[in-house]
Amino acid sequence: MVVCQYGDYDFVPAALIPEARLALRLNPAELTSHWRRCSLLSDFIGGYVASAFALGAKMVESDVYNSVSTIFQELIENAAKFSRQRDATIAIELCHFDRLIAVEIKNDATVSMAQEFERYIQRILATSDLDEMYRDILEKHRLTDSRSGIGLLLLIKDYGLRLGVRFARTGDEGTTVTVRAFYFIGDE
Amino acid sequence: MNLVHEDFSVVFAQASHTISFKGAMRLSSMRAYDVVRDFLQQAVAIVPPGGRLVIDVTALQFLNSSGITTLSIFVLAMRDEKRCKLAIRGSRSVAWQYKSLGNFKRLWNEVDLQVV
Repeated sequence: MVVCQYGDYDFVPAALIPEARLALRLNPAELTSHWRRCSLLSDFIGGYVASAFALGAKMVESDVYNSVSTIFQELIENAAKFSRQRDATIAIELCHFDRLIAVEIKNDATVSMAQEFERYIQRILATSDLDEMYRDILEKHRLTDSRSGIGLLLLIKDYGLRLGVRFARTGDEGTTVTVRAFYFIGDE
Repeated sequence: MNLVHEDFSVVFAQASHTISFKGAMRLSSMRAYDVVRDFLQQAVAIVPPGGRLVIDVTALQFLNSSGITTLSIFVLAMRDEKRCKLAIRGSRSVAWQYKSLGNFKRLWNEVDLQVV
């Protein structure tokens, strides 16, 4: 197995015990065939986290709810789009440590999907000017019919998200991609 | 002129040249956003040369990155055409808006952006 790791993958020590831990497993085809499930999951995760900070009607109006739901939406969309659709699993784990929210999303991708995603990750983690990269991607996007390609970039740029990604190639048939995202509430 | 989806709506008020978004817009891909892109293009075509188009997203609770890309490309097209002005209105009480709306001004410095 060939493993490549990028960014803040080990940002949280494995021995650290969270206040809350939530795990989900699903099939990517469940999301791509019924896209609104991404939003339903995102709003659920947003509410699960935000309920520790605000209650009732204030919860869904809170910055925490809106930010966590937005962040999770991009992560789950990414996993759904970059996954093999058959015989594949998306494994999600959410951990809440005081003001830190850690999300891990592990999915199975084809080798070519993983290589495309790895090039993107290398690029956004290496750039010194995220604003320029944002403008550059959009100017080029007008000329092509490709993926939007700014989701993770916006999370890092606008939400202060810390990101780590691990690619574990399992033979010729596929690669397991693990994305770890760390968000400090109120720290943007 | 309006566009109604199960999770969001878009209304164009011709008198004020204002496009108002409401709800949660999180479609699956750029292609899925073609209907929104077409709506924006139809609306801006109604604004007379030298006039001002207002995009009001204060009631839009969520917008995913494909949606931000769609709006960004529309902003770039307006910038290049130089046919009319653009104002964007957002809310400081909606996190994605105060965090990300500034990106449109980075694409076109002449955008009149107010997030209040």
